[in-house]
Amino acid sequence: MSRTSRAFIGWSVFLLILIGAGIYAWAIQLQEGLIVTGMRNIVSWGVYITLFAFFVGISAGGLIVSSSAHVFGIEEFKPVAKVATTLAAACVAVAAISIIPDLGRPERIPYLILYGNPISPLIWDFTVIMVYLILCIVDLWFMLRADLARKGSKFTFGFNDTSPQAVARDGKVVKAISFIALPTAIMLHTVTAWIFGTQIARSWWYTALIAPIFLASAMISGLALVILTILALQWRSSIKLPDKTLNTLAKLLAVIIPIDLFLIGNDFVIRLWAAAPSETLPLTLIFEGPFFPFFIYEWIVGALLPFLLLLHPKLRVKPKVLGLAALLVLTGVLAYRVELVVPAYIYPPIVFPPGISRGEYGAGASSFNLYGIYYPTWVELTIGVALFSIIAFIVTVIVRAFPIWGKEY
Amino acid sequence: MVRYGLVIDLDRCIGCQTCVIACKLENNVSLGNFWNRVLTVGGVMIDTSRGEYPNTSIFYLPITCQHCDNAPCVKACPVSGTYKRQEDGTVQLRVERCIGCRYCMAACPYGVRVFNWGEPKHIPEHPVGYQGEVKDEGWIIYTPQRPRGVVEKCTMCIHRITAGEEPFCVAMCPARARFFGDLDDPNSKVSRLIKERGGVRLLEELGTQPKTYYLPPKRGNQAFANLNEIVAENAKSTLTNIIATSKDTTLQAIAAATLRRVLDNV
Repeated sequence: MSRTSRAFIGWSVFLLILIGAGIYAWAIQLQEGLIVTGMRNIVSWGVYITLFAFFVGISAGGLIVSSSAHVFGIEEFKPVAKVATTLAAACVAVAAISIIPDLGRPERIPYLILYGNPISPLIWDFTVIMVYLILCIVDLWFMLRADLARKGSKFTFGFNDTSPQAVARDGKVVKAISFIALPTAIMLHTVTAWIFGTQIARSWWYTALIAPIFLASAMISGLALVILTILALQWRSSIKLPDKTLNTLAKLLAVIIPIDLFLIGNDFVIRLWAAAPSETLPLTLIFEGPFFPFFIYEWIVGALLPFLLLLHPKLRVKPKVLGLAALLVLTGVLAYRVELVVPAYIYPPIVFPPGISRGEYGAGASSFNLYGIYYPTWVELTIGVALFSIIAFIVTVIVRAFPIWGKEY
Repeated sequence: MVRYGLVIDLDRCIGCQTCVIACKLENNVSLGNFWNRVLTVGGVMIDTSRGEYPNTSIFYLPITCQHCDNAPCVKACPVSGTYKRQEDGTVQLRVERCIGCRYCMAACPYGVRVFNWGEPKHIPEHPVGYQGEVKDEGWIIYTPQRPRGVVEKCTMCIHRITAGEEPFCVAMCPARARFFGDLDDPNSKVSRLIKERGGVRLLEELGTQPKTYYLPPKRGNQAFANLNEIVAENAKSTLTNIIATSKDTTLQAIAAATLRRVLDNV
């Protein structure tokens, strides 16, 4: 057994243990109900929806990188198109999965198709997620088909033609898909943002800026994930990409970070200037309340620091520096998602004693809370870790099984 | 076509919580969940007032599903589980269709939707109140056997109003502060009260068009009105405080209306 195989098995077993722990936690949740989570009637969305928004975001990099390679003819991105599309498919699939533990009645998922409400942003998002996932898989298949045929793989589904004409035709299809995939990717983030942005009851979400913010944060987190994955693959294999590819990705990341901060900062300024309690109360949670550490992490550690690292032409070519910057950006966007979901619930629009019933009974204790309180439980966190592990596992298996990362990149 | 609505007279509401308990009993609402609540607009605890003696103010704000005409929950629900009933305009929920995503709870500005986080608990364990099921176009919209993992809320006592009775909270109110009727009928008691007493709706600026109207209180603050000018000034500051600090513009409007009355009476 080669060293690579041993590392692959070790890594896979590690991920499977984490996934298994998540399934165990979910089994407990299925048995006891969502009472085992930290969510209650006031804060009724928590870790799962936060991660859903995050996973949809990190799927962006993939298709945006691979599509823009064809749409805008960015040659440097072509070598990483397959890796990027694999990441996009894995992340959007897990984004869809992350909704399942959030549901009180997961067995009724088919109702989304049977009784879909055409005016619900959740249905729009469900549709665009499915379209995006299918596009990613089809795109990936056309990129891989000729290589698979040469290897005699059965995943060509009988299309084994490896003549130059057939390969050229594949290229044309991939290019055509890119032109559909790029607007679909943009719609994916826009519609996911609209889930939140349409809700007039939650002033924290109710801003037209939310879709641009989602796009920018999706692009930086998606690019960061692509960079991290490429660095990891380079570290584990002898294949090296041309320096220009990583350098262009790094530069693109550096350009979008300030755009993301600009949009979020804009939102803050407008709210602060209005000074209406509904606008400023959630901000107090961010600026001085329990979400302050997330805010500092998002802005300083997750944006400013990596921006400065990426700005320096000599620093950004060093794999360790680039990897660190990408990791900080990725976790910075995760911090942003935390600031997005839960703070919207802390101050309900009508706050008078005794407040809102929690939906939980304890003898001798009040069933009411005036303000929202939320601490994720081990069940939610274990399932959350498992969701990350599923992404890593899918990507590991696909990269291992298919010619995603080869001599031809 | 009728359009059922509720009118609550804040001058008559004494904050006794009878409607809260009546609702729980009639609808077999599980422990820890409330479809109907009575909030205190005053101090930081229930039944406490704002300000310092003798310049205090307090009134009660009963709150339940507002049965909005432009209901955010209806628009949000991905499976049309929650919907506006055409026959009477009430907002109902198909118990067996709800997937438990709680998007409606995010959408509702009034915080009146509750979720069965765990297995619904009852003391006593047998169901109380109305024992039957109510179906609308084949779907259960009320059942005393409440399933876990499903959102629920006030049905405006759909089993009672379809039988020509008032919702139980209205029937049980000892202060006769709650009125039920057809908002589309200009001669109904509710329509007349709204017109004569200047009924207002909660969070009206959100455009949800609720069908629950509140008649602004005056009695609770009459004490101020009958006192001398200095007391009126203090009442003014108390009410101004509500106007300045409340996040609910309708309550601010109620406070402002009360303030105008206070000033008129001086």
